[in-house]
Amino acid sequence: MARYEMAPTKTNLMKIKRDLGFAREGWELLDQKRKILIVELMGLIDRAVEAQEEVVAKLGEAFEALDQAILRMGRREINMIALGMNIESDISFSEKRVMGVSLPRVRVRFDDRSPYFAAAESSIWIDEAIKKFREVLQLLGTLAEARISLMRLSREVGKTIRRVNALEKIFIPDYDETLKYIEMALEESEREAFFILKLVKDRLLRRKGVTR
Amino acid sequence: MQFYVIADENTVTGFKLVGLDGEAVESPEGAREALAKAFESSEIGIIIITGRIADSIRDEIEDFTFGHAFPLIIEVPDREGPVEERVSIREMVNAAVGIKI
Repeated sequence: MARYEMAPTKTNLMKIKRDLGFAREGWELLDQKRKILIVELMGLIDRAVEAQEEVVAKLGEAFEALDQAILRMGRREINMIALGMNIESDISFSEKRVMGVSLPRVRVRFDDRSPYFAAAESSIWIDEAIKKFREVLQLLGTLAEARISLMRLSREVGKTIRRVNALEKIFIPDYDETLKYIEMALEESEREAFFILKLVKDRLLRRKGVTR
Repeated sequence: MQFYVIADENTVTGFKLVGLDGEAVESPEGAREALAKAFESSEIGIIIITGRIADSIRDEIEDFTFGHAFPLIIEVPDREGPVEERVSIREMVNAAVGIKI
């Protein structure tokens, strides 16, 4: 613990008391913020992990189907079909704010229209691949939301924890120490002044006694 | 807003089947270029990138994810499956927070 170099005066005492009060208030607020953020974070971790696993599994299936399709029809044919696809996906965003951190909300919407290729030209595998990739896309919206929120949130939690600690472990103890020192010094000088006054009074009385 | 895919050829083809635009890249430079191009467009809301490609330009991706609100970048595994032993979500959070949760 360190004490700040400050002249032990009444003015400084008042200033320090004010600062200390402010720091304590700030600490309380930050501590609350930290707790809220961590609760939010915990829920989000589970959601993100879940979404991640789902995407990996689904994407594996999708690639499987795609491989089969490529095997049976050739890459060129698949690319042609891809050109002929007429699905439109649209993402819309909104925002949720948790303690000053902006977290995205993602909605994925599909606009299905009939494809530009004849069913006879394609195989069942391509239908399967399309279906799987669509599912993946839907999941990706959720995953994107969870992951990005998680990154932003965890960074904010880290920052908040550092601030809370700085206040709790350094700023407040140091100021406390300084406050005590100034209070002691002031009391000491007060006692000294009191003592001197008594002395003077005593002498004056004695002098009066002598002249009487 | 739209998705955009930056990945290997296989993955791009796959997502093309569901109507997504994308660019097949093979080198970190190519990925950087594609990423820069994707950032320019105001229509792109989510960039899908494979883990392997993201790894090769990790710094750019990190900078961007923390610095900007849009577009969002998500990493997906490619045909060969997830990149081995990448930091898990939990570890990532622990590192960012600085303590173990």
